[in-house]
Amino acid sequence: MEKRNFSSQLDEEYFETVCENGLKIIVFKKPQFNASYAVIATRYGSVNTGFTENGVHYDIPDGTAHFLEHKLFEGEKAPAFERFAKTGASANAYTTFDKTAYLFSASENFYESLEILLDFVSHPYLTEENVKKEQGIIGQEIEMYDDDPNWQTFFRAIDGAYTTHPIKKDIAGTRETISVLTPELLYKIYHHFYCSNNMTLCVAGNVSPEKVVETANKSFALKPNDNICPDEIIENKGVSAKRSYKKLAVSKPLFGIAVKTELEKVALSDRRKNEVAVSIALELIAGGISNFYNKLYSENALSDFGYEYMTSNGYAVVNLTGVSDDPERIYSEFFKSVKKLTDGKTDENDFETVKKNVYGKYLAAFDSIEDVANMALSADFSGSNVFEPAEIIKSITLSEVIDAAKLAFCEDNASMAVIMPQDE
Amino acid sequence: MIIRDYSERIKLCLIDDRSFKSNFFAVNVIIPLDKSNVTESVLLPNVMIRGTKSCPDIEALSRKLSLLYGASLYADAVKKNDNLVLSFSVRFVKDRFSLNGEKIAADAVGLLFEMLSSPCFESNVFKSEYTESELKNLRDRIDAEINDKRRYVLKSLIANLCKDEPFGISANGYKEDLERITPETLTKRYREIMANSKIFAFFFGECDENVICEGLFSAFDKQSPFSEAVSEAKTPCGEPQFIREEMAITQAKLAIGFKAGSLEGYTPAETGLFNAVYGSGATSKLFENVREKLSLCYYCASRVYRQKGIMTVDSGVEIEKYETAYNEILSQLDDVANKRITEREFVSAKNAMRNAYNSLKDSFFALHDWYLSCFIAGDIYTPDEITELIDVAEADRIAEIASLFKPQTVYLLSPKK
Repeated sequence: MEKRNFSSQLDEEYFETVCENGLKIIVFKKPQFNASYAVIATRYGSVNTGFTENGVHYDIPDGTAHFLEHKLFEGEKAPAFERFAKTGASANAYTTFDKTAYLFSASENFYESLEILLDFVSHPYLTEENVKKEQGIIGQEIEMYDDDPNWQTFFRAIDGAYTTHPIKKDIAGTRETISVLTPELLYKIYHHFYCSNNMTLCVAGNVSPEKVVETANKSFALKPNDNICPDEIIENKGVSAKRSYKKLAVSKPLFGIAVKTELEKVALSDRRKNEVAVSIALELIAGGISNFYNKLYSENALSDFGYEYMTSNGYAVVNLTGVSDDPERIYSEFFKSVKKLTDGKTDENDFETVKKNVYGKYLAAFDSIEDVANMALSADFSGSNVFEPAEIIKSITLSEVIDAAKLAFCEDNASMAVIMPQDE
Repeated sequence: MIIRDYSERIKLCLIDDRSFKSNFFAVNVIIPLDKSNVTESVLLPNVMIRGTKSCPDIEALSRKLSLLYGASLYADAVKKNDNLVLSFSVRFVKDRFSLNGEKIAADAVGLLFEMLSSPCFESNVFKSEYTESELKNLRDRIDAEINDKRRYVLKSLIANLCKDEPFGISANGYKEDLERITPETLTKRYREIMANSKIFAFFFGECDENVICEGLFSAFDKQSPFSEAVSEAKTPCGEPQFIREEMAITQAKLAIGFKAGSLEGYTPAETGLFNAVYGSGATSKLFENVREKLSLCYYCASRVYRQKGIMTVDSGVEIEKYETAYNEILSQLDDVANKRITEREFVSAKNAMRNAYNSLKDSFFALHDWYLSCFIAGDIYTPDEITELIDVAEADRIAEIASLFKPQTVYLLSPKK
């Protein structure tokens, strides 16, 4: 393997290499695990809404990345699930804003399963008939999300926070947008984005890095494409909607607050640090030790509360979700708590306490082969590596956290979506 | 894995591990499900995690957990067969990973014991502020059951399927009980439970066993008598009862409850294998046929409760197709019962099960849940023992299990017209 990375602090190591065809491979050796996990992903997700090839521009209908994810499981000779059934591997896939990923975990026949994964991802089999059938299945999946209040608050808040960014689009699309998909168009899109130099394979478990690379060289059939040209993503200042409301069958109002970071203000080399800084800021603003959370929870004004900072190359957005009779109050209390931090009124001891918390949670992710491999994949797609946060958490200062918070929690970039109960 | 039988009442399951970053420690208090006190029992963990003697509120607890490198403390109530399990646990990073040599383990384990034995009291009863606040949260949680349609339907199905049995009791409790719960009644229930329940503790990681058992013996009297639920499996009878409910939703949900009578003559590997062949996972008949081939449902899956002799099948379906889906779900069960199981289906189910049991060993959460279930069932198997049983299981036995299951309740949640 070309490169071995070891962290004595974490007692972890991984190997990475780029195959001759351009496929990047990252392998965590974790011999104490009974199963091994593999995930291969392409830099193609729901935010990719068009591309140019040989001077011709192609629009991509909403929901296509997710549609292709479903379709790749269909093989010419046998569906992927049927092939995995022979090895016993448990396979799945997911589509996010910025990637489509295919994965499996297996406690036996790992390399055989890896062959199947790499083979089915590189051999699409699309016919008029099987595309039509999938339109029905995905239509049912979309209906399921329509009824899911948590899903709705999350996506409606993001939709409100962005103006033109394709992060606004539903990952699964709508029944209408996917109805125009044909095998020809799907093949065209597939061949543009599914190419070796646009993909990364991450493996964690009781495996040999050399054998993983050998298997990839044998079974991964895709070639590099030097002309990958996705549409540029354009986003304006401000939000498209400060508030949005919808009624569903729920008992109490659910809210989602999204605050986008103007990413162009964060240098590419500072992105990882920004991510850690905002995560620490979130703990200080809204975590278990914050006045914000303790006051609202003890008054029964807030429950089922959660928060995260979602980052990628093309977007960074803070998401808060919860249940409350008075979402407006949560919104204003949250920004008061932000102000306390950005005004420099946070105790240095609280900062040191939260750093330990964030470090411990980061460490705990290494206890799962799934988490490690997906963490490594996301880091790679962001041009970073999985050990970087350890050093950043140790050395970051409160003033750096405050600077990041000023950018990440700007109220001009915030939107709130509320799902309200139906009228009696 | 070592099981310590400290007494009839208290057992400890110890798994030594040197390779994970975290340790995990759980204490489970097992009480027979009883409708007359279930709401109080369910409320207890929520009030207990609001504060302890030395960390009297959420802020103090959060601060302590953060200083222990992001240790996670959990307290909840789950239904296992005819029991309610109050489960208290803590996950924490091993001492050697702290940045400045701080010791974490002793404090984290100590905090869990403190939550159990020294809750935040005022005048010898639970703080009224916490009791009232958690009563409100519990009311909200019961109301919010409709938010997650899939879970709501399964819960309503089981409540009807096991109407006059402990298993039909809600693990969220009942709204009509909330009014009469006070800090005094709650404290009384707490003392009863601490004195008279069966205890199953679980430790995964590197530990000093003396610290664990000293903590257990000081929290719980080793010899005191305890009550125990004997789970019963009812035999099926009569035609299925059909229940239809309307809600403002887009996708209908169809759930079917089956009873088989006692499945005690079958090993967990056999009932698990039946479930895998019929309706659990991507190799099952329900997935391959009802979802993939016929596109009748977006999801369609079965679950078997072996001790209770019960099975549920639930699906998300377009309302126009629910009858077709229902017939197909039964027809697939009929195929299994009549041994129409192909070699490929049988081997695939075995492979998937072996993989699931081998993988279970890679997660302390999964191991804890597994051994807790075994302990409650009164049959302890290691995951490796189950995989051995899977290897020797025969298709005829799987067909036999299928033939025992009869539909008893059908629950349809349909979109409002």
